[in-house]
Amino acid sequence: MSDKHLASQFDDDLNNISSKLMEMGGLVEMQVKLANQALKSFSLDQLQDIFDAEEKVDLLEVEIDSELAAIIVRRQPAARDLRLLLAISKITTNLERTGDESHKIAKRIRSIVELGEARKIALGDLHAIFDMSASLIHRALDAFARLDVIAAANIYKEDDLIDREFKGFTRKLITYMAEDPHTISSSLDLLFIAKAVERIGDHAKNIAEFIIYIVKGTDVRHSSLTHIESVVQ
Amino acid sequence: MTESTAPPPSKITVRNLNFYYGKFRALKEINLDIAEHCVTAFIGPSGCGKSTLLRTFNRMFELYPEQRAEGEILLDGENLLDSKHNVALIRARIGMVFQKPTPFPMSIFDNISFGVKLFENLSRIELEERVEWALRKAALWDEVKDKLNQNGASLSGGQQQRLCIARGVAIKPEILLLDEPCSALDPISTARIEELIAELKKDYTVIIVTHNMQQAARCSDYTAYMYLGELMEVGETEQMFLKPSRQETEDYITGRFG
Repeated sequence: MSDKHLASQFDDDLNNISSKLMEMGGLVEMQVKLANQALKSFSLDQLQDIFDAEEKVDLLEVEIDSELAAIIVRRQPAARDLRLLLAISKITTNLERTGDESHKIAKRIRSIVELGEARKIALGDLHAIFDMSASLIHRALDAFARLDVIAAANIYKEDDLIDREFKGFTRKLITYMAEDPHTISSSLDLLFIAKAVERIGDHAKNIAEFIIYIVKGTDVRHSSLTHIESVVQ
Repeated sequence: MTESTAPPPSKITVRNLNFYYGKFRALKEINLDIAEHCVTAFIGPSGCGKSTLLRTFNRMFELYPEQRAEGEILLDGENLLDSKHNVALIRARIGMVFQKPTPFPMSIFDNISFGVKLFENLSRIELEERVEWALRKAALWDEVKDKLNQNGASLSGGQQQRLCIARGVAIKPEILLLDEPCSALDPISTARIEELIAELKKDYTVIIVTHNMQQAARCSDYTAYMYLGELMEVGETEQMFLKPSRQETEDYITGRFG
């Protein structure tokens, strides 16, 4: 936060909790990135890193929540301080779930690699969706750090694209399964992966909504892109 | 000045109000509507004019010859500042409670009945009924009903303040002005007074000046932020504390001021 409180300890509290959120975000971003790479290379090498990070992410989630409660009870925050803390609480939840999705993806990759059937399926579309989701999580964290509402609105826009691409990929998997029943098992794994990737995009979108809430004080959840654009203007 | 939504009917309408302590202009072009049967809180740093504004509503400033107000304060459409109005009658319609409890040096009963007897000619029984009614309104009856003849000063600070509120409501005013009513009280007495404020707004229009922002957040429907004699922003309390329109208001309520 740029300008200072009369109580400098309050600034420290807010800075610390924001830093901790960014630390958690960094871990989650790494999980998403590793999962994306593992899917591209069909390699099991770095899956363990994803599982290991999960534990740290969970610990940070609990720690951030407990610090939030402490700040609220000590400082009785108002206006944008209150909005920041409410948003951090929600963003933490979204990050933790993003980590969970990466974890799910890692498990499916392991199953696919063990089955060895997925190489028959063209995954270009899925890789493209995964790149987009990974980029959205990165940009959501970046937009939080800079409290950039324009960047947040763009994330919202791009998540729509991910949703459309996800539907396209699902249709493609159905075609594979109909044509060659041998691909059903891998296709189901890929479907779960695609769903998890799509959810990661949704979490990035949710984070973007809370950034707009912090800065503008308007809750833009469940509203249209046009409304969001008018709010961030 | 911004208002988030249309407030309920206005009980007091302030228009182009300026106030002077000698040559010093303490209030600058105040325009404000006080909603009927609502609690309006005035907040702002020391010297911003919030108590001054409160004191114009019942012309308390007229005790001091060098102080004067210009503009309009309309109570149900009539300008209170118009000298044709009898100050005593205005104060009967607009009661006031001060920062420090100020019980009269007389019994609890007489503290309440004193003001009533100035305005109304009641029988002994009616007077007793009125005193009980006022003490019940101020949530003090159960604590003092067995010692109505004791001196008001024998009560605790919180009780004295509720006694002053009872004295204020006893003459059945339309408006209650509370100038930092809890600043000298402990948290429990403060909670009682806040509870009382919520109860009183059913019958009265309440205006409270407070330094305690959490208190304004807890017990008011509308909050007005003042700074250097100007009304910076007024709006619904929740809105003011969650998303004020002006940066100055936000800086003040988040403790970034100065």
